[in-house]
Amino acid sequence: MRPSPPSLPLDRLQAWMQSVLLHPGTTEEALAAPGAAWIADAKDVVLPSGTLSPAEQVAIYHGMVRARLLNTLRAQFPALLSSLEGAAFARVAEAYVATTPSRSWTLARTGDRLPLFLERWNGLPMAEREALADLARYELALEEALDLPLAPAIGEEQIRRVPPDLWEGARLLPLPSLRILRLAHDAPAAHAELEAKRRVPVPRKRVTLLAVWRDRSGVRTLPLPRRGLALLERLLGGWTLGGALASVPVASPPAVERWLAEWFGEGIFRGVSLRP
Amino acid sequence: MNRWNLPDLGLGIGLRSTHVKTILQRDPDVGFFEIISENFMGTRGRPLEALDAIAERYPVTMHGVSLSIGSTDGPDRGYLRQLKALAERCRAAWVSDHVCWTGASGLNTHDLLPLPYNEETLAHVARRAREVSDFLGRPLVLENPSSYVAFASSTMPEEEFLVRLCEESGCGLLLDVNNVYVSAFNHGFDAERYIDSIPADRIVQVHLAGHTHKGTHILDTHSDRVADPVWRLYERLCRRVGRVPTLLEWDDRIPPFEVVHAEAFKAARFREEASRAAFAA
Repeated sequence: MRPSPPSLPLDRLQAWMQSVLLHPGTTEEALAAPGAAWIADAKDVVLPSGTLSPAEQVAIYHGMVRARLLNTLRAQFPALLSSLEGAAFARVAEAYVATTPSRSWTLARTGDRLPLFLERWNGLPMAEREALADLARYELALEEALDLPLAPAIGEEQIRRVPPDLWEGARLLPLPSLRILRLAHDAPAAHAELEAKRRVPVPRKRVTLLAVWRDRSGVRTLPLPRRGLALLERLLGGWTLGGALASVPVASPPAVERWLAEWFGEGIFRGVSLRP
Repeated sequence: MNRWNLPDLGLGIGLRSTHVKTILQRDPDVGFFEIISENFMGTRGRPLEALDAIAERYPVTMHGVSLSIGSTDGPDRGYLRQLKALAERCRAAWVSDHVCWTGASGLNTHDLLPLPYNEETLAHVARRAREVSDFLGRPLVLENPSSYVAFASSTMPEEEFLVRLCEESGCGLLLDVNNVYVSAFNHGFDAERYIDSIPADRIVQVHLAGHTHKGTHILDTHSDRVADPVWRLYERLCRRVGRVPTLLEWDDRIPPFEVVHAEAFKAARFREEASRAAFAA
């Protein structure tokens, strides 16, 4: 039995309205969809104004909810927006928000599941899906870095003070913002076109391994060789330098020295712990 | 003065990321900055560093958009914990949000959706507001929303709902004069009567903002200067209640800081007139 409209309980009213507002179609379609059609007519819930019908009033919110989510995605993924261009991006974004309603109190999490969605969405050419997903992953990683705290990197003097015989048991302490990113496509090269104010191409296939962190100048990235990544991963996991080196077969000690010199030089570590 | 003796912070401006650099470089004369709480929650990085720098120099108030006080979902304890931690970090003069709901059944529309104004909603929101105030250890301040729908299940006007909500929950009111104007136009009620009916001692803060007139309705876009009829309502309010902390919000098509500052400080004249009138009386 349909509840009497004036006594529609708050939870039922909210269920009805939310069902309409999150519906991906037109407001007319939303009002007629199963989630909302138990209210026969919007005027049973919403009073007409002097100028707009109840359905037209609900349509204001329906449009605003969608516009806010799409604008958030545009702001979070400027390179993806450039690569797909406006109309195609809008199609992707509309399909994404329709299938991935927000469960977070913050809009900042809106795009978290977009990479996975792009990989699976058959509205894009198969050949481009994974490449565009990687571009989105790269953009999320850049944004995530900005939300992580700054810390000063260890200086040369502090490094020199570590006795040579203690390096093997030393643990390198990473910056709190340091993350490792594994991509199957060269998203950084594509993304660079955005900074040059050119259209971002679909990233080309190329294994891309990166360290991503932030310092006072902004978000920094550093390409990593495959074995260098394996070593860095262990160091981030709290392994001692000796233990990490023993578990990663490296072509030559000079390569390790080169990596460590580069990592210290770039400032991705905040300290060295000599505690056993 | 409000009943909690919360201070008159003067004229404030909504803090927007595009203005932070200018503010820190120029130290403009501003009574306080109001932050959108959620922009500084769920982050440990750059936004908080900017907030820390602002809070070193200016009083800060917090204004949220995700409390969803009217939702029939239970309160989000994780959200509340972060809200409280942020208030402590920036030494917020007060914490406000809206009389609205943003989602239900675990979903979020990210919009400030209106509530039906009836006894059921009043009891529900008052209980939630008391819970939130208790958790935060300070009175919650709630803002009248702008709205584009009015519900058939409402049994009282919005201003009556707000006054009773304040009485029953102990919360303060952030009176958004632009919202009153917008909703009055959209629903055909008397904005002056609404403004006149709010007890002075419940008003902790006032909001001003620009809107967009669409002919058939008005949208609360915060994308322009304050419209003349809204200034007139503000003047009317000041004459009756005296000086209240007043803040300008500008969220879309945000102009340079100087423009926002100049617009916000147009309110100074009305505040001064209110002071003179109070002194003469």
